[in-house]
Amino acid sequence: MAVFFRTWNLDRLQRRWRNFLRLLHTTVFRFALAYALGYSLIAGLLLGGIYFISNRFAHHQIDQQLIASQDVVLRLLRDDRRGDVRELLGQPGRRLPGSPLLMVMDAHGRSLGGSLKAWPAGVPLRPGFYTFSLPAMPASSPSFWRDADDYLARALVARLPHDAGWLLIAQPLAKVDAYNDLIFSLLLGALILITLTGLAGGILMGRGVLRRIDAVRDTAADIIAGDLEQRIPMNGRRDEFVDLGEHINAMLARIEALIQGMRAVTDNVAHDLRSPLNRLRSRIEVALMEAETPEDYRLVLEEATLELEGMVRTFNALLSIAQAESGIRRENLTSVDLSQLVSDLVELYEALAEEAGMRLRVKIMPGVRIRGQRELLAQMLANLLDNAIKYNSAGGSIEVALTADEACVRLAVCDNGSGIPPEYRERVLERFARLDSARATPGNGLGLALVKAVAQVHGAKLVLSDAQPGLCVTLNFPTSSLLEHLNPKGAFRKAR
Amino acid sequence: MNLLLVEDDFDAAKSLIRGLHRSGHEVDHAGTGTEGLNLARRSQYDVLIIDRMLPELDGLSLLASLREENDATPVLILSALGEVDDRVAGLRAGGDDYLIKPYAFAELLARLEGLERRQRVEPAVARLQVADLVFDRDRHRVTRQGQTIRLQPREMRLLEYLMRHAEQVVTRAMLLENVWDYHFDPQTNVIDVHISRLRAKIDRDFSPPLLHTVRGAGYRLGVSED
Repeated sequence: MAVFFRTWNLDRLQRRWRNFLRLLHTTVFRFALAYALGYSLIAGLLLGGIYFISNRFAHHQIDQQLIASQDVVLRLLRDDRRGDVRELLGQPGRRLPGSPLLMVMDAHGRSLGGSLKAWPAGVPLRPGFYTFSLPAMPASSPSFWRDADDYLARALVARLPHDAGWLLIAQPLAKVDAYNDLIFSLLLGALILITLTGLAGGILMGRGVLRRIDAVRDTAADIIAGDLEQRIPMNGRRDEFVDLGEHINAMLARIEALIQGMRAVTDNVAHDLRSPLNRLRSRIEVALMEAETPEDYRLVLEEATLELEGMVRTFNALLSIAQAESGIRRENLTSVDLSQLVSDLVELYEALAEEAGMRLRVKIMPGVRIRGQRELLAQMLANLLDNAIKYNSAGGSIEVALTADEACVRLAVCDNGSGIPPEYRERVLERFARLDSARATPGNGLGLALVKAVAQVHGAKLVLSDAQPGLCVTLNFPTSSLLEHLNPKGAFRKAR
Repeated sequence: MNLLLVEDDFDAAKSLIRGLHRSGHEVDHAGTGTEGLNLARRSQYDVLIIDRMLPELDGLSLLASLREENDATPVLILSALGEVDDRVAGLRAGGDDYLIKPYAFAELLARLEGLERRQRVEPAVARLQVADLVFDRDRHRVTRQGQTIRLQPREMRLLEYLMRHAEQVVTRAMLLENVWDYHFDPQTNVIDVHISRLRAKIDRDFSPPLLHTVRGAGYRLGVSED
């Protein structure tokens, strides 16, 4: 008992009780309850009907037996076979159907014999069926909920031939009642069973559903509490709950990615705008202390403006990345002529490359279109071309190729510059990641991060590979969702 | 120029107005959208500068009201919202140009002058001339001092834009937007290279130089030196 109380302490009992109350409020339980009540009602009506009919039938049987017995007795009396009649009247004759009670009375009210000692009270001297109370208990066993004096009997009264008196044949209803009681008990039992089964089913189903829902609820609670990595546990058979859970988990993963993106942006902003702010501040403070001539001030202010410009640029790049990472709203996607865009940007950067002593070679398949966001794609390609020029040296070459086949649209920008060692290729895609060798080159370390984000939002696979020597950046845009069509000059049309 | 500035940030407005005054422009200032709308209705301005986020009536609604009343005054929208979608929304509402905060004052000034110029210059004019530099649009021919200068198609467009905005500062962003039709941050001096190539063609063998670099702002095509 002590153990019992320790384990079943109040807290736990309360929790159990709360859980039970919750169970009562589940939809499934309510459905089950409603169904159980409905079924019970129908079953009750049905069983009540059965009881009523069987009761009627039993009484009808008795009346038939009484009529048959009366016929026999009257015939015997008419035939005046006294021995037989005596025997019949002396004790309930086994020869009569149902072994009824008998009473014969002459016209003056004197008993001529029978198993009943006196004419029962309440039975008139008129032919017909009557129901009366039996004064004493017959030998049959009483039913447990019925008092002995409740015993009724059914009587059939008939006039004796030649007005010689009256004949009463009676059958105690005890047996019929016992039979009825039995049927009633069975039916009641069945009714209770149906109701209880319905309730139990409801509780079981409700608990099952509740358990599945609790898994979702607990996960949600954990996420609300700040643990964004929580996912709804997936186990058991594939059913609608597993399906729902998978969708919710996919949604959670997407939200988590977005939030992490936002976090990364704010972290970056905090971290990488702080140093230029710091430079700016100290420059201004020092100028306030030391500068004497207007020229001194002018110099500092011009430097400060340049610093601010750099910061704004970094800030804008971060916003562009964040915008690309958070996805483009469907209505802002347009059909972009990628061939045109690539040739525009190549033309824009060609002069720069030539100025830097590099050759820019281009191979563009005409009429390649994808669904996308034009300005982001342009910024992405500008960053790639900018990098290719920045990290190449005079005499180098840059190749830009746009090709399309049935599987994908492929855009590649390759240079033969210093390249990126394989172990750094993942890292350079992160914000503010700069290789040590690039520290001397101007840039904010956001170029490839933006390329990655734009590629992602367009569903493109971004691959950095070795151009031996140099770097090859390849973007594979899927054709299925993004490519609309190629013009007839193109190699193919979109497969429908 | 006669300008109306609708901007609720009082400090920003104050320095902006000082800068515009120094550049020789008259500026009226409104601090709310409704005040701006009333002022715009009452008098005739050359260009309206409207901030997007305004108390009472936001910038785009103000602009839409004016356009509904068939007021075609050029409008430069200022906004702290920088996404492409916002720019599109601004231009769709009837804005003529869109500038994202924080902007360089030189950029704002150049764009204002560009907008005013757009009102004055007939866009379909076929023959442009700055000093002895002549651009014949129909015959795709550029001459200086009577000598034909061979230009690439893009250089033609670049020169046309500069000549349409002659004697006026044009920023790199304006060139990228109007000549190349892209709105992005090119990181490097990619525009400068195109300008220096154009300069080599129109200025190297001739005098005086016409294509000037304006420090901290952009470029100017014209006879005057400063």
